[in-house]
Amino acid sequence: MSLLEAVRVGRVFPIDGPQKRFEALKDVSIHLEAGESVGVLGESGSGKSTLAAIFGGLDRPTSGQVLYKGRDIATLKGGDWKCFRQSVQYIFQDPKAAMNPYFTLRQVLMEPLKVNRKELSKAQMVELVEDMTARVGLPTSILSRHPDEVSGGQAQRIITARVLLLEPEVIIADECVSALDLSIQAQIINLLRRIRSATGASFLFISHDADLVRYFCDRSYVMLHGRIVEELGQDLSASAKSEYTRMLLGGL
Amino acid sequence: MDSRILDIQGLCARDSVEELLVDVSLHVDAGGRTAIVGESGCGKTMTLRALLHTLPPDVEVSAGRIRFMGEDALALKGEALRKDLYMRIGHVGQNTSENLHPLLKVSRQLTDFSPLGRKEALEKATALLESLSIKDPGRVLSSYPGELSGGMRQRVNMAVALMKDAPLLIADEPTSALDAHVRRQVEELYQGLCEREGLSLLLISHDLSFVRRIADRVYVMYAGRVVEEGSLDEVFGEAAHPYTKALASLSGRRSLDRTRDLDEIGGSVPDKGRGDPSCAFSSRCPYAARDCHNALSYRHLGGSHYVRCCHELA
Repeated sequence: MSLLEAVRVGRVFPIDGPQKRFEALKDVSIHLEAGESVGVLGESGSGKSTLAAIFGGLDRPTSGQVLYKGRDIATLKGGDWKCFRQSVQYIFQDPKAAMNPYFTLRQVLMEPLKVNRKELSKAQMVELVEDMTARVGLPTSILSRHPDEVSGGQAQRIITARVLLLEPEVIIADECVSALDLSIQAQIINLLRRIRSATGASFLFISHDADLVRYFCDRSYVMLHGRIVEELGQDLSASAKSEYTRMLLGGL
Repeated sequence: MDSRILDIQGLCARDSVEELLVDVSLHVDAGGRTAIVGESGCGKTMTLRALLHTLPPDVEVSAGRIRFMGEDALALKGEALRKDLYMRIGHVGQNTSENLHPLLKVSRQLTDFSPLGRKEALEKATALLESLSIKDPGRVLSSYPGELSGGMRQRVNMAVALMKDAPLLIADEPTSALDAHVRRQVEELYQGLCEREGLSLLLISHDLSFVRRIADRVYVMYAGRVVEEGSLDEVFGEAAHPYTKALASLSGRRSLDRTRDLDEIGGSVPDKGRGDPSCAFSSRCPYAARDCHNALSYRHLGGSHYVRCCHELA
């Protein structure tokens, strides 16, 4: 039994009324085992982000199922659903859109602890938040600012910190470093690697940067027009068969 | 006519608490291709926002001047601001979702402000989208921004900027959300545009390989200041600032070794004390010495190459 599994998932979006439909995902099956890091490669618009949202329970498939430890997440209720949402966390592509603009960064980071770790005292939460802020390479003085008042790279580190605070089993990272400078990309990736070896978390790592996927992941899926067209081993290029995949890998 | 299309001199900006930009001087020659590089939080985008009158509400320009096509860009207001600045600058912003109206179809956002007739404007928009490797421009034009992927939105943003045929194109991280093969095409597109007569480019990017292929003049910013400037060859060929060297060594990585961590510049851009006259990089600098805490000025290294560092590095 996989930790998290998508079984023949489809997602259709209506465009301009019921007649026109856009099939973002078609019959997609992927699985993620405990402790595994799996990459998703594909050109822009191929359905990577839609798949990530459905895999993380942020969107519902129009056909097929997502199974968490063998149970269909559509049937999870109450405490089970909350447990799933806590164990499967999502690092967004656009960090500022993922934060409440009226919150200070301190509030942004306190919120998941207040919801999910009610047993902690305020002082313990503050300590966790400040410790995590330092671990993602930011000065704690930044916590009094609002999302608007920090750079894109700093915002992405705050979002990463917010995810890591909940010590999730699965982290879905959707282009989580593509907007960052190389030095900060390296800091975030190194941080994710340290978290991975310390906690054994599994990753679904979505990226258009084939070098990073090769560096970070154990195996990968390749998407085109809403389908999985190829599965690759760790050394991507050695196992790539289709011309499309070779273009994705060789485009660098 | 000025040989510089954009000339920023001694620009300082601050909010109620601290300085954000300190004495930033940079220029774009008419027909030139200038790039600003540096980590996020260094003030690259803030410099652009000063030019475009889009600074956050509590931030103000406290000193310096900006001349754009002979006009004092900071003093422009109302209709003159629209006509003399906004219609003459094509701007591809960093945050693709923020720069598009969520409730208007892409077709309207591409054509509404165009002086061309609607039909002509649509034809031009379609051609632009095609030149940006969008295979089905019809679908993209009839979509709302929220229905498009990040990479698609970035190309729509580029098309919006190019619709104006503006003499200056400003591109803030224009390739960061693109797939590798589309990035190639976009790079070629920028190269093509620059070679077209009269178009000047101000590029902000952390992708140094992109900068190397496009720019002819480079400014390296750190903690709100320009720390090194010069021609492309001067800055990348004979990098004089330890920060420039560190950035260049990072971008050289392309075969990554899974058994070890990625190279990084430890620490982060300091948050406070940008107005301090000493070197802000010294806390992360491998060459840091006591001299670094003294007040610094720019050293001339020949040509148009300047550096703000007290070390003579080989």
